[in-house]
Amino acid sequence: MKWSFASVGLILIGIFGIIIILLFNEITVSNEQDYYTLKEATEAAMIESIDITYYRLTGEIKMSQEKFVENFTRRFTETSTFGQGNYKIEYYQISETPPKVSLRIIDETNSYNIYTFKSDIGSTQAKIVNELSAILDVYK
Amino acid sequence: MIKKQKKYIYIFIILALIFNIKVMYVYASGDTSGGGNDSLDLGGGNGKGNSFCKTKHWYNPRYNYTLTSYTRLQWSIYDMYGNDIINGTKIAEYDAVKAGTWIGVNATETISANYTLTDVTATESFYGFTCRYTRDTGECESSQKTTCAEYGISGECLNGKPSDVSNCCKWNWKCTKYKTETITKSGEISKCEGEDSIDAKCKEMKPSGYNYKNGDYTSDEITRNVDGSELNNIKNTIKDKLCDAITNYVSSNSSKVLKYSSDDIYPSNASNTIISEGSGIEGKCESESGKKYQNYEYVQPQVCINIKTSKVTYGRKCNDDEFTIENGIAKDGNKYWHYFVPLNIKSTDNLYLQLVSDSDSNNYSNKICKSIMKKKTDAGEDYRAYISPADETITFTGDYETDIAKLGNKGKCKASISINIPIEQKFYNEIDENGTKKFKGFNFYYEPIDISNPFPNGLTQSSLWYEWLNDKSGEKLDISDSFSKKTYEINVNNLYAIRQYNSDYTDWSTMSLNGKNSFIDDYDITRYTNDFYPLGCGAKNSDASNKILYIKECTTNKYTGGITGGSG
Repeated sequence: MKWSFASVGLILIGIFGIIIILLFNEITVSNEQDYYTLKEATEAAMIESIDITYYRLTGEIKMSQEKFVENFTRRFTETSTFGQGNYKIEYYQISETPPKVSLRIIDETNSYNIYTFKSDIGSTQAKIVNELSAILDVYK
Repeated sequence: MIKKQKKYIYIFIILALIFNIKVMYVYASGDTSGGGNDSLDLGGGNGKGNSFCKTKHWYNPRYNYTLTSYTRLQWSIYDMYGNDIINGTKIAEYDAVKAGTWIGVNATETISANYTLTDVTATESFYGFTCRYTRDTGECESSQKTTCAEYGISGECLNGKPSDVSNCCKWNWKCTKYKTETITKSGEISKCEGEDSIDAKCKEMKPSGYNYKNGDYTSDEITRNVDGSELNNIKNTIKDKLCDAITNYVSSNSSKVLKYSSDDIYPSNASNTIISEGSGIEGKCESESGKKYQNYEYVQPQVCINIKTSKVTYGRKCNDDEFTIENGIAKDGNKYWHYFVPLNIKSTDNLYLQLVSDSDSNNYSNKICKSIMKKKTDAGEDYRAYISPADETITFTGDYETDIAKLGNKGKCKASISINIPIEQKFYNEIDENGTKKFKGFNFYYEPIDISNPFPNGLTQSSLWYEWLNDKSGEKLDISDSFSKKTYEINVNNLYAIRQYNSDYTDWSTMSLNGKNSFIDDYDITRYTNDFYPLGCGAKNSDASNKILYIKECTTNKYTGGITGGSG
């Protein structure tokens, strides 16, 4: 009898562990996915937003701020795998020349509520947040 | 004869161009000298509007003159800061021009001609004329009738020849004795002496007792030396003719054209849109020498760049999507216009610019052309920088023997100047592949940074951020404070809505010229800022005090509309 309970206990512990693993796996995969989407979309959007006319007139590299916002928004949403995703994209400091962006992606599709035993505190929502600052520079 | 001489004068002027080429401009000069009897047309006709008569009276000037002419093509190439970057006949590698950007071009031509006039002497030729008069001398003796008959007198003289006509006329025969008189013109001549006037003069000079035999006169050419004010008048006439000649030469030589390596994408050939602006003929003509010259400036009246596509066009009025690129003023005070270098030119491909005469009438003869080629070759210079074949199907290689053969014995040349401009490709990334340059992506790259220490390894001088890194002013962008102020925000609740927006990422159609993007408004992106430049504008060209090309629209196009969110 004692071994029977022990076996059941082990099974329950195993199941709980698997749940934990799956949970963190999803969190980390989503996080990694968001990060690379963020990185790739940022890179492409920055380069696509180069104001060539300004380059021809001055020889300087300048990025159009509003074009970047459009292109990044479009690229990020088009490469996200979650069809009905719930993201918040926040743009912060954007420098047109020299080109630099700072932005933050908040993935609200995969947020988690963490409850404590003290009911007066309520739940804490954990969101997957990625932020990135990047620049453009030249090879030579 | 006179007209032929006149023709020779102009032919001499054009054909006698001998070149003396200086650094970075073509100095094409020539001289011819002449003189001698009747070398200039001094007028003609029967006194109608002319000061001199040729039919009955004319001057024979003798003089020596020298005519010299030259054509000088010159240009300056300026960088974006207004510095002349031509060093000698070349542009130094360190002054290489960025592909896609512009250079300032100031192209001028000076047409000049002068003369010297020396050793002027002249003789005057005119006709003296002999009038014939008659008088009644009574009757002749019969023995003299024959003699009288010899003089055309009616009646008979039968007894031999009288010693003179008066003897003949002592007799009863009704003989007519005639007298000859030579009238020599003197004093100032103010009109031509036609036959009618000679006839009148003969009548006027009729001796007493004689009858003028109407229309019965002969003429002889008489010559005398001219001096004093009369000679000065002749000098002035010759001077005026020489002055006309050099003035015509200076005024008739224009119409040059700029050619350069064309490109299918950026920008199209602008050669047909360049116009010349003449300064007007200057200089003066004096009795012994004179000089006339005119400066032409070759300008591009309209240069437009499309703000969204960056395509450059020349020679037409700019439309609403284009900036009008006004001519600039270089540091040396010269006005220049903007030539945009193709964006996709490789650093191994020099940009070749050439300014060439577009007037066939000003072509240099085969002899002069070969002379220039030899002179420049002997001097170790490339004659292609100064002349080009008039026949555009021929291209000089730079090898003297080869090009002489190409030119043949009839080929002509045009005055031209040319230059190779070294290019550095800073927009596209160039890679070496089998010894040739190929484009692979762009020359700029993306790099994530740690805002607390963005450049831990420092930066090279070519970095876009080098200036920022070394800016000690305290007014530079505070990267460490990157996340303190939100500028845009969007809640993407339905990805499909944005995914349905189907447009190329490089399509700038949603962008307004003031830098505002309608996409942001259409897709509910909250805008917390209006701090951005109009398209084509930035710190370098938005301030008239900046040294790089100032675009006034960068000030007037500035977006000053409200933001759609709070302070963020």
